[in-house]
Amino acid sequence: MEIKILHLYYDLLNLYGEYGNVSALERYLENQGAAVTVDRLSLYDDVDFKQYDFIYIGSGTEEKQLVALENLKKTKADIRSAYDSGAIILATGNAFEMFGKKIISPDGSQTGGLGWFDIETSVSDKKRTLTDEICSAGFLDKPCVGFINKASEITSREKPMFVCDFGAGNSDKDKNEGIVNGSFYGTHLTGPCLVKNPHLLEYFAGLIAKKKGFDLKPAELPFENRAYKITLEALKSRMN
Amino acid sequence: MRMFLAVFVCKLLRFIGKLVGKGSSLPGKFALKIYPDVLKHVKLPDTVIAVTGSNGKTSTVEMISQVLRSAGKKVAYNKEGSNQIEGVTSLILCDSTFSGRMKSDILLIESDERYAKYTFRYFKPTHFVITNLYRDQLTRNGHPQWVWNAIKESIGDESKLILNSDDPIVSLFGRDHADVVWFGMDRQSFSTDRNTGVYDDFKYCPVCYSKLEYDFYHYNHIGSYHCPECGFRRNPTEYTITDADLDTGVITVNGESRIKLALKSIYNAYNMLACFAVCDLVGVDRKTIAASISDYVLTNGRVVNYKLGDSFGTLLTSKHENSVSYDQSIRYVTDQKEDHGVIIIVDAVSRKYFTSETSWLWDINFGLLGKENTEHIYLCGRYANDLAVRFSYTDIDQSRISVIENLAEAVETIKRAGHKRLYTITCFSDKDKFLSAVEIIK
Repeated sequence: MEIKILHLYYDLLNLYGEYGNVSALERYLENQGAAVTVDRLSLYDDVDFKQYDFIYIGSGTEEKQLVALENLKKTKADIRSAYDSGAIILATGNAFEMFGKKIISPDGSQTGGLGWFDIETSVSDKKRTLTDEICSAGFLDKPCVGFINKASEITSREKPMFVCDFGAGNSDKDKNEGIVNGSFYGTHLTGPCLVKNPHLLEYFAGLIAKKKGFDLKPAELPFENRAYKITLEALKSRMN
Repeated sequence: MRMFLAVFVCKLLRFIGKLVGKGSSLPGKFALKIYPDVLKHVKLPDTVIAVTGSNGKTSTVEMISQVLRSAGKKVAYNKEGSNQIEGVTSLILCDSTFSGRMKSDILLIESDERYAKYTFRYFKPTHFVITNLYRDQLTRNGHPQWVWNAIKESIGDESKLILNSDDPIVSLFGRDHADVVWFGMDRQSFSTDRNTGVYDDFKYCPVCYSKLEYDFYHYNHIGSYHCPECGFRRNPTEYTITDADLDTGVITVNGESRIKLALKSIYNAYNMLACFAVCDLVGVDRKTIAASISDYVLTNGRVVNYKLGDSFGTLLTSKHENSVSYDQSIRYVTDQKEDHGVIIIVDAVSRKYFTSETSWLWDINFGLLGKENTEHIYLCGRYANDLAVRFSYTDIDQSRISVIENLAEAVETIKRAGHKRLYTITCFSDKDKFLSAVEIIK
């Protein structure tokens, strides 16, 4: 079984540790017996979107997000047709904001997004949301843990990826976090969120397996599971 | 009257604080309550030096103070590292007369990067040194660009900026500033053609986002760069380490001033250079600078030697959430020739605030620890499993790694293993937990 993964803007949208998500998925699928290819591509590369089963984009600074967005617009029809043909997309941190209607910068200027989803983002140059996070998803049997590091408030009329139990949602007024639409998943969890949440890693591996028509075998992730449990307990103790 | 009261309260609280061993920011906090814009009305000395940046602030400030004192100047500086506005207010008022005039010849301030804009709202330093900006404490700082914006707000036109030309993001402060002095390091034997870190924040030009080209790197994103498209480049330097021999620890500045480093590291060489530049600029002659600072051992020493059973160990204080600091310690360990064990402890991410965020572990180049003479690696503390996962993505032989959450148990295991030599890498937040279980060698 061959699986092709794209890590897009791997060297531009890489706030910290995002590459761990791709490494974790690659290893997990290889241990399932799949032949996994990962392409790490960026601003000046030609990208042939249609060949990928899974596309990952990580978080960046507010400035780099807009640079990436302008670049992505040049090939917006190609990434759209990959998505329409069933590619799974995970965009973490401010990467998923690029797929909304628009991003409003602190000076009031507006940058149009790819317009796939009904979300709007306002970016601040004063207020930053920095918080540990516990959030739950309907498709997972356990909550996820992580960290949110953003300067944006998002108004969303899409289905959320998570409901936030501790930490921050899409905006001050909204406990919903991220968006899900078809095979597109967006969350503001920063860094290697698939490493910190082995059940989330398993979920995405499962989506890919389903797309490719094979079943996942149970996998042992002892350190990952123990690390998750310890962090969840530490964060829960802060909730009270 | 308010001035008198603010100074009086500040001095009184500082006196009591010293008796009970409390920090130095509280007196300033109270003084600011009494007189919120007190800093606008204090008569400061003619020379006010400020130092900010991600790493090396405390060491640089201590060295500047050492040189200036040797040159006969009376210096007031925030020795205890209280580097936000409250601590700086304590520093200033405790050195002032009751009418609000500072007594020292020179005010020297280590300033927190993000809070510099508050500290420098009412006065501006005459000399403002910016050392470097890295990924540091991102759970508080967001990211380096966010910190850059905060520092930018603190800078006034009247200050002379003394900037690290080898750091692209620091050099951006000089682009629209009239009075800038640049410092940097020429290519050395240890410089590399490629970035050796896990990530590279300046793969692209920060001005036009073309691919940034480097002639060489010293470490992380520090080196000599230029953009072939827009012309953004490393500026020529007035103060230059023309030669650095890290084996002997001798650096040469501008081809003439030789200084011996007590702590032989590239990071310390930069701190020393920044110190040299600012001291020269305020009029200390170069011979006095070199003589007073050669072989100077920092009192904020972050290296502690210890004994554990038959093992001789060295603890390298590193900063959690700061991959450059960890890479620095890892580089030190991998430079050692004899066989050794390595202990890495992440028990509390910070001593000042709570977070369970461990993404920063992925920015550290732990893979370097795979050398033959590293006999075993002990990953310890509450976040030992997060470390174990990170290490499982390196090429290091996993049978050489032990994961022990409980620190007491870890110390016992390490003691029994009987390594001749040990290196411990951990943070301020965790080092005392380890040191209390071993015998410290003074």
